[in-house]
Amino acid sequence: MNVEGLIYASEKLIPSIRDDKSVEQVANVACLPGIEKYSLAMPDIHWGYGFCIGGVAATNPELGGVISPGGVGYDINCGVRLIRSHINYNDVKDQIATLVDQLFLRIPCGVGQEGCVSFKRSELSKVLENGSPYVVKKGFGWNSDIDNTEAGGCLKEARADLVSDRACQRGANQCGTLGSGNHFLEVQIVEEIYDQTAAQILGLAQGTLTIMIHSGSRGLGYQVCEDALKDLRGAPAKYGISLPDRQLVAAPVESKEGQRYLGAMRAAANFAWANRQIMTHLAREALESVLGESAESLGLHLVYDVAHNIAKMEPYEIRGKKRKLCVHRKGATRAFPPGHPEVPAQYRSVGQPVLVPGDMGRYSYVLVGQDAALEHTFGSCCHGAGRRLSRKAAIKASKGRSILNELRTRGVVARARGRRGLEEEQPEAYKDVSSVVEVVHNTGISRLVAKLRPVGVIKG
Amino acid sequence: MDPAFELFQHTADMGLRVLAPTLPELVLPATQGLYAAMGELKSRDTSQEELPFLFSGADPAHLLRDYLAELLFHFESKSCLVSSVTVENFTEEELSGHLLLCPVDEENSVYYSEVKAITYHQLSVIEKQSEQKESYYEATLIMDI
Repeated sequence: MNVEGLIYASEKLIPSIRDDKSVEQVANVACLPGIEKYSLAMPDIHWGYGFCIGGVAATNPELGGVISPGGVGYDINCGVRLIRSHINYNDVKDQIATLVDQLFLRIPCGVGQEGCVSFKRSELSKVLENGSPYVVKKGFGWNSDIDNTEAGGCLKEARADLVSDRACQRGANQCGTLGSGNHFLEVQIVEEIYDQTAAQILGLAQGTLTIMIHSGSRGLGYQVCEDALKDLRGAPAKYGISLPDRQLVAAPVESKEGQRYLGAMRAAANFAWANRQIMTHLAREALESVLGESAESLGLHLVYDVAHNIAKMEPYEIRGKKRKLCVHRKGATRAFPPGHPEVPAQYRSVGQPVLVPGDMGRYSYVLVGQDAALEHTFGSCCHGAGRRLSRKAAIKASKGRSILNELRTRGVVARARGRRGLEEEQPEAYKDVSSVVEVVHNTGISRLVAKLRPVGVIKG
Repeated sequence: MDPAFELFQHTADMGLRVLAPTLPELVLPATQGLYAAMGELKSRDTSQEELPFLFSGADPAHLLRDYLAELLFHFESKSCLVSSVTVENFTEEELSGHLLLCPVDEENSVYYSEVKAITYHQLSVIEKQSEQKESYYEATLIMDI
């Protein structure tokens, strides 16, 4: 190991962490060339490909530091966005079912579903290089959405030319689609406020509705990762990199292979932001149609959009000098503290919003990044709960039960397109995210702002 | 032994195990296994596209993985399924043949899961021997769902 491993956890979480091989994966990542400080894992750590989910690793190109597609994942820029509103739940609770139906009708979700926009290659290249600002210009949202998206919804130096035709073919019809599996769109209530000042700054008021969208780069991103894994197959041998796990396949950041992956990954990340932006627009239209008011008057503003599968070049002080490191966040969210120049000006006094979704029966959380994140975790925080049961075990556990009815009893209106969507994604299939956010709050990485309770969900 | 496949659980994803007496005979049940992971898929016979395929330069496990990744691509980009596959060659270094692709019958297909990718995790094709001393091949692949 080149550095030590450091896992953020609590006594409650440790038994489940020991259950799978994720700790071993933290140790393996610690062997990557050029890794700085620690191989980190957030409290939602669980087994992944190469890197664990919840893994954070920063490598230094000056030391031959590497970039690894496994440190990002197949779903490049899978992430979450949160839209707030002025809508008081009590005023619309009889319309929630209708609202969820409209969202389900308007937002394509599930296998084989196509988006409302289909991009030809030339226009897709613009999406890949410009991200969500491009689709906002096309009428799919507001300029303020861009200000409240991580990286302004666009990673610079994205290379559309490095995204294969194959990836473009997979993604051309999928921009503005939710996907399936653990992707979702939720209608939520702001149930509890922990930090009144921060909540006010974020525009969150108790009892109001929010919309949370969890989705990523769809088939385009998966193919970019697939292409990179093939391109990098020979890189470890070529650059003399010894890997304890072949799934950590990597190349020096500054090598041709590393730069090819970085350029294509940035393009896929931009596609994901465009994807979530189009769905935001469709969600606004759905609420307008049911509630009979404009999205502006309903106050449907974007709180923030965060990526939780990404690699970014970020400056950190290492051995007394500012150095640009390649920060891999795989199932981990950026969490910049108050005062950081990349935090939107309106939030700079409290820190960057951190969005942590739970399962569809329990809570999601909003936090804000704090100084300890920048000092200890390369500005990173957890991203969600992590699975407790395999899909097969979840389906088995649902035999003889109606998950739809159980959710209804909990006050959640659910619509799912896939035959097994609700069964596989039932609340019991996931760990309790409260235990996860407790750790990041208590260690000062991020500070709790609000708890959100689902009242409606659509899934693929 | 008859070629067969089974899907097995894997925390967040899905495993596919394929058994067959020879390497070429792994291909059809692997195809069926991928589609079974995705759902109960039906195709329309209205139009068919014949496509050759050739994967080379790797070991049988990687070749089989690359083949299934190709099927995933055809499904996502063209909404097509393999209605038949002919394997001409499957050796230590090459997998080749041709496919007949048909459009998915969306009305009569039921989807379970979106397969994002065929991973390299636990990827293997191993030659084994049964209790009756017959040799057979076992392929293991993990699909990212």
